[in-house]
Amino acid sequence: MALKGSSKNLQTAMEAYKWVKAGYSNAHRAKEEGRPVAWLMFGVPLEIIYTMGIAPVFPENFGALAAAKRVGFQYCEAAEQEGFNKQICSYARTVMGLTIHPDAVPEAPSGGLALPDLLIAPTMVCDLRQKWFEDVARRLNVPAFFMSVPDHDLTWRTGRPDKSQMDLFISETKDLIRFLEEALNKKFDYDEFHQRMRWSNETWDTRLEILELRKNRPAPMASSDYFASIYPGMTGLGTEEALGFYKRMLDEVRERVEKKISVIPEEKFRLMWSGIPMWFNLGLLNYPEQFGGVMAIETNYQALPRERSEDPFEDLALRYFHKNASIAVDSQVDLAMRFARDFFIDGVILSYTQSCRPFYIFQAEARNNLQEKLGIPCLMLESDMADERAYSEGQVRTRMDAFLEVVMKQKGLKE
Amino acid sequence: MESFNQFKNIVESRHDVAVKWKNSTGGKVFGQFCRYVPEEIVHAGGGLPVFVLGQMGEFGNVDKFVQENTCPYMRSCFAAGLAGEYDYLDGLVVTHACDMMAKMHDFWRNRTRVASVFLLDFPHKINESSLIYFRNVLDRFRGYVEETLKTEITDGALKESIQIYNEYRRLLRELYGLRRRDPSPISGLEIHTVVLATLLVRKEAAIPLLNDLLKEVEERRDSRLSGVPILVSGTDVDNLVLYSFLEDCGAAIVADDVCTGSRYFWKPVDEKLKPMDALAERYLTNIPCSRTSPSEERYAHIQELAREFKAKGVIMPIMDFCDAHMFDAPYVLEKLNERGFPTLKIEIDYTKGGLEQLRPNVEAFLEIISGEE
Amino acid sequence: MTEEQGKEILFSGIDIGTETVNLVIMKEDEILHAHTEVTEEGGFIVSQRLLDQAKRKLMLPAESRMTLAATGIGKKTVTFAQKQSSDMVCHARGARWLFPEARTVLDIGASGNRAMSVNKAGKVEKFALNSKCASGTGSFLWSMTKVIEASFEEMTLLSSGIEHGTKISNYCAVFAESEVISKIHGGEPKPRIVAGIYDAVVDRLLEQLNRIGIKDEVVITGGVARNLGLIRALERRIGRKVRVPQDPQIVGALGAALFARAEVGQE
Repeated sequence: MALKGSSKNLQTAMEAYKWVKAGYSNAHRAKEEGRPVAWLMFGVPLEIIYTMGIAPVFPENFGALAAAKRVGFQYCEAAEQEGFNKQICSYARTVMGLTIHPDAVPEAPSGGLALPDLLIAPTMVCDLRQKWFEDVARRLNVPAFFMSVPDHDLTWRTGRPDKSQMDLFISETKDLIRFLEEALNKKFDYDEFHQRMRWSNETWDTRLEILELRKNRPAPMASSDYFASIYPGMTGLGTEEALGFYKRMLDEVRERVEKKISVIPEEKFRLMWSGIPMWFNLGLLNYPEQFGGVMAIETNYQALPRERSEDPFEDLALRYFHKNASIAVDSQVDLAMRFARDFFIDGVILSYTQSCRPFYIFQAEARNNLQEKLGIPCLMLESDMADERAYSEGQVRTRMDAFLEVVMKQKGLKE
Repeated sequence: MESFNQFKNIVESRHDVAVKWKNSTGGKVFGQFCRYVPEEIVHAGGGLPVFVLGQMGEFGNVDKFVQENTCPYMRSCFAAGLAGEYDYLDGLVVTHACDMMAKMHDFWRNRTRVASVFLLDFPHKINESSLIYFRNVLDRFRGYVEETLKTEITDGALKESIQIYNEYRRLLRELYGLRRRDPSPISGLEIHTVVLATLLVRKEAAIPLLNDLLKEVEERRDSRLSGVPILVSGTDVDNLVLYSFLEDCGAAIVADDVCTGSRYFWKPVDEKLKPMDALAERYLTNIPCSRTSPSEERYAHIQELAREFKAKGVIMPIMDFCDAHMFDAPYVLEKLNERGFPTLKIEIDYTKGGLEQLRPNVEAFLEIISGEE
Repeated sequence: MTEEQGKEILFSGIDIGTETVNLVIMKEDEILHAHTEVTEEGGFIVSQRLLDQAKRKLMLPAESRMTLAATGIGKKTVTFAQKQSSDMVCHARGARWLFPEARTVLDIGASGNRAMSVNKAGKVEKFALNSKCASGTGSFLWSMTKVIEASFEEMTLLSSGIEHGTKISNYCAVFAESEVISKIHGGEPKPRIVAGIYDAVVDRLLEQLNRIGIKDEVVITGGVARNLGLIRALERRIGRKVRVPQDPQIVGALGAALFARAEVGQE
């Protein structure tokens, strides 16, 4: 099947692209007006960033955006010709390609990335994110701060970190605030910070409610809606606007559940998407619909139940350490198994994203467990999240069709 | 040479060596992948810390659990684990020294028969808060070792172990020092065989062997090494075949910056501090590998070694799919180039054919820097 | 002294490659003999045979002295060679002799390509080799001739005049092949596909070239350099003309012969 964008069902999902545009133009405007711009990796506490009046830019998102606009791979090529290894994360290659050869693509999507005054990354998820920003810091001669956070691959089971783990996270968070105060010559407004924490917690709870509603059959929304609308949650956490967005989404989903408005006229089987989507081919998420299949849930970027604290720093730490937030193999396998049961899943597609090792290393064990323990058919799709050159249409088509046959047979939908 | 053969035998029959030790002493063996593990803690409790080593070959049995495009060193070790070669391990310490290594924890725990697995967190940054945190991590680690060994590890025992390890480190630095001679009396292959062997036995057993070897090597008059003097910089380069390959291409390896080489023993533990504090400080601030920041100390270490041992160039073997190195290497190599050291980056894995393909690169590089055109 | 009392002093270079063996025999500053042989036999046997053949053809007296240098992946098999030299350095040396202004040398062979930058004095400064995959190499182009069902010459003719070929996005040779097949079935005109294949190969070559920096004059060596269509595609991309030797395959052996000459000159 040829590469194409996805079709969405929710009104809010269809509007979400405006957020993306606004995010990028806001950063460009900030640059023009002399307000501080920071490049951030996901995982940095955004409430702190917004409190300091910084316009955030998310290079990882640019990797996804450029891929969705079908130009990402050109930036990757430019980066490779500068000596960047093909095995490196395609988000990094896209952004480094853009940084070194901004003219590799005639019109950069959303005007490209506003140049940073600061770089901030947490050391969670993968080593590469830190190395990447170290490289950018050298090239652009910009100060960088790395939040060194403890490994929570063991505490994900309970979500309960010990005191030394909490202490490190909190002291690094406070160091971040100090770094920003010095860099911007501005005092941190703790009142505003508390307000933003309230908004972000409410946003988290709202997203949780939406997640619960998706257990309903027929599915009120699909993965195509979800991936189209995560931007406010990942980049706007701590803003009143993001909270408003998800409240509207919750209302919409609730209504659809009440009125039994489904994604397709007759929902015959339900699928789950594990891992990062192919941003250049989100249309793949809709492919099963023609056979009566809905991509009912996905495992990535979810807001999940977690412990709370009155103290905002402890609260941020508990958010970091919460159950299944870890991408340890066992954690992601456990999440996939739970979701498969809770969301009544008949088949799972496992996204093997070649250039993202932390996000594909668990897929084989997810497949082993889902198939052996729950008897759920699985499909391992090999491609990449942002580099469309790694996509082989023929292969994906054949494997997908074969997989859907198996799912439908198992459901008794076919002889 | 008599003493060298003993080292060679240890490496080649390392599983037998460990099992024999277990049977004769009734002790317990702890495996590790990484030099950030404070071995003195295991040693003080009477345990034997050993490095789990990778080896060349095909790892088909691994594909069902760990796909191909991942660190070949980790895959190779896991293949050995799956095949039951490490069933004798009473404990396995998996360090969070890099993404892939940390992920291995679950695979080893779920799919192999080692008795227990412990994840040892290692901070990404070296600063005050990380030191406090790491000190706590070591307390938990000590608890795990005590539980596994069913014994209490006293500060007194720790002090003794630290002394033994420091003596061992001193001897290896002395052995390395002999390579300053021109030509070096010991080849890269020989010295890495020696170091690797000492990672597989109790240090007090290694010390007399090292003393004997030192005497023999000091007296060596025949040149052991011919070729272009090279420093090898990399990660867990435990693959002896790589060293012999490079020397076969015409390199004389006079110095190294690898985890199973100089970085393992270069810095001693401060015997003036309280033992647990001393261990936390030394292991955290030991010359960092590519993944940990800040890396200035590592660059300085490489340059210093290259200068001290008069290397004409630096060869950097980078493991396939090693994210930290892929970004880091170009910068390190550029800095070395600026300081007048020509560099060559080669990508390695553990398949048999992989090394031969690199021969044209290595030979050309050596020919060019030796000025023999 | 290069001539004494009826004895002739000759210099030869033998390049033992993966699929071919090349021999060059020189006297002073002149190439007397050059030969390329496609063979699967071992380097030792083939070099002896080629040297014997050459001696007979040139009608060399039995006492003629010939200093032999070996290069290429199989150079160690030529145990009777007096000297050995790495084939990258030989390629640069040979290219430089043919084109004294050469500053960039790109060798495109069956199993790999490599780029070298050469300084004013003729010494190799930087080099870059392709990574392990097959695309951007002779074997990739060879498999494409089967898919397109055209010879190298026909491919050149087909693509002549086409400025922009079809984009072949898969960088992996295995996937690229199936991509080309589906484009043929899809009715895409062959000239554009061939141009697209050349563009894809040039993409790979540029990775090595950009790592070492492109400086005039650019010389292309190796059997694949005979592929005019590819050369033209490369010239278009880098915006400059390149030099291709009349016989691009013997450049390594030529460099080895020159090495033999230099070594003897020093003794």
